[in-house]
Amino acid sequence: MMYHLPLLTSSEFATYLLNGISQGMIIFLVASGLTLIFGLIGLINFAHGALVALGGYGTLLIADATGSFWLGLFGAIALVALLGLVLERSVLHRVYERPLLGFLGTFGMYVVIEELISFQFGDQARQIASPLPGYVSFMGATYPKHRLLIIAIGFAVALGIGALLSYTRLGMEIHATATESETAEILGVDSARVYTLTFVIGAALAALAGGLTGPVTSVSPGMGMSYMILAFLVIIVGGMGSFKGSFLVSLIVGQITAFGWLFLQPTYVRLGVFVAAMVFILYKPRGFFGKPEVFE
Amino acid sequence: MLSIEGLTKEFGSLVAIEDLDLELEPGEIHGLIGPNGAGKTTTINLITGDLAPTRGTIMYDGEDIAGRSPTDIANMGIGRSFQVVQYFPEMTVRKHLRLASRDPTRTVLSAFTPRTDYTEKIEEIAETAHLDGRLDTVAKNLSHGEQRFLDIAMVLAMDPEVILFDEPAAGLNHSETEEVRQIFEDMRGDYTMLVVEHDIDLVRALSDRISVLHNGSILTTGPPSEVVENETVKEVYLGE
Repeated sequence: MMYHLPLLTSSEFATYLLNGISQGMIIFLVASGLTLIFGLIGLINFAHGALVALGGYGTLLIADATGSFWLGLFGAIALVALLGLVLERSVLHRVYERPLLGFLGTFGMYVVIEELISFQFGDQARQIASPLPGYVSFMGATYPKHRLLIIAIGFAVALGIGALLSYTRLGMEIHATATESETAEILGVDSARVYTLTFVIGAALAALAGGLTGPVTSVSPGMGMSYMILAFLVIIVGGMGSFKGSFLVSLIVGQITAFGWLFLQPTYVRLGVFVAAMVFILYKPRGFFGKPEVFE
Repeated sequence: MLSIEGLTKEFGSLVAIEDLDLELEPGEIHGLIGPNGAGKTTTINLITGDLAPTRGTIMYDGEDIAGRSPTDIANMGIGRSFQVVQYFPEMTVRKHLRLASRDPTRTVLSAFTPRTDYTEKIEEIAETAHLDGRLDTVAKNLSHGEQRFLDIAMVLAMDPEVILFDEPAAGLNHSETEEVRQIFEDMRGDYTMLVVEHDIDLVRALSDRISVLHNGSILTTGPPSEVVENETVKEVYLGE
């Protein structure tokens, strides 16, 4: 059965569609950690981009040393989560009540980490070997297996975080703390512990995004920041703090980007995405799922 | 059960609580009354850790808890209610009670395991707090009286030994106040309760003992009949 856009064969359509989904998943993996941290703590975490890059480099180095991509990825996630724990407990928990300091503090962390990576490893992009090299056939098209892996892990993360928020004790405490932290504390919820755990999960998601996308996009000191801008857009349009919104808008932006390249140069596609987002926000300032209550 | 000695709280040059002694006997309902500004809410805030005392000890289970954090104190078994009801507007009654119910053995890892539903316990509490049938209603849709009952239910879900109630009947009409009295009667003996309340009839009806607070110190403590007949109490509080 052939169904296609004008000028597109079904195999081309499938390729663009999958590109859009995998691109959306990469944005979502970066945005998910940001959304959790913003939704709960109200902190716009610029350091997130640096944690993405650290995840990429950590995966690269450990995979090179051990010969295993998976060991590299999980090792990098563990190390970056640990760094997240140290950053949150040493500095960030002091600035939650002071948004300007939070902005400056996390931006400072971003600059320091990115410069350290650049100093140590240079600015040139480096490639991570994929654990799933090669291609699969799909609707007459051949498609990189690693991109399918990104799509699968992206969906798994979305389901996992959704389940964490909906069905666990921590999810309930995150919801309560994000809504009204003082009332939650009265009920015995240790909000400091909830903040710390959430930040560590956010850091782990950043590392996952960096390590997993390394084989596709290559690894460089600024890799995180290039996704951060789209991730912020996704968070704003999805509705600040709405995990569901981030997921949906990531997929939409992925598709617009993929199919937009059919008609326009990438720069203009990106410009179009931002203009569309601005117009959308003018009419719906809280985004798709934004409410005073977060994590619906 | 809970023994307060020499408790003092100064805000700069203002002495809000001065050398206060108060003893709660296990299982009693203890009324705490006094004119506005006498320091009733401050006393509760000092016990719960919301304020740090300047001096004095608060002994609970053989430990001085003065100055500990509110979360620590809540987890040790001292619950409280507020003058202004605190709740999550979009959350159902059931979720409030689930959140307030805690597994004392929980660890960091157990936060990631499927949560416990506490269905049986929650239904029992809802019945005690006159909220049966309202478990799946979101809090903002409850009447003011029901929101007060929710406040009581949330404290009960925390499995406290001691409960500090700050004006549990504030803003309630006559029949709702009567319901609060019935709820407290049902709780009698199961908990040690300190009840700060302006409705003197309610306090008299409920309390095993009453303490009168005046200018940050305890004026007198005794059975309700004795306290309301006390000449000084009549003068400073009852205005007779």
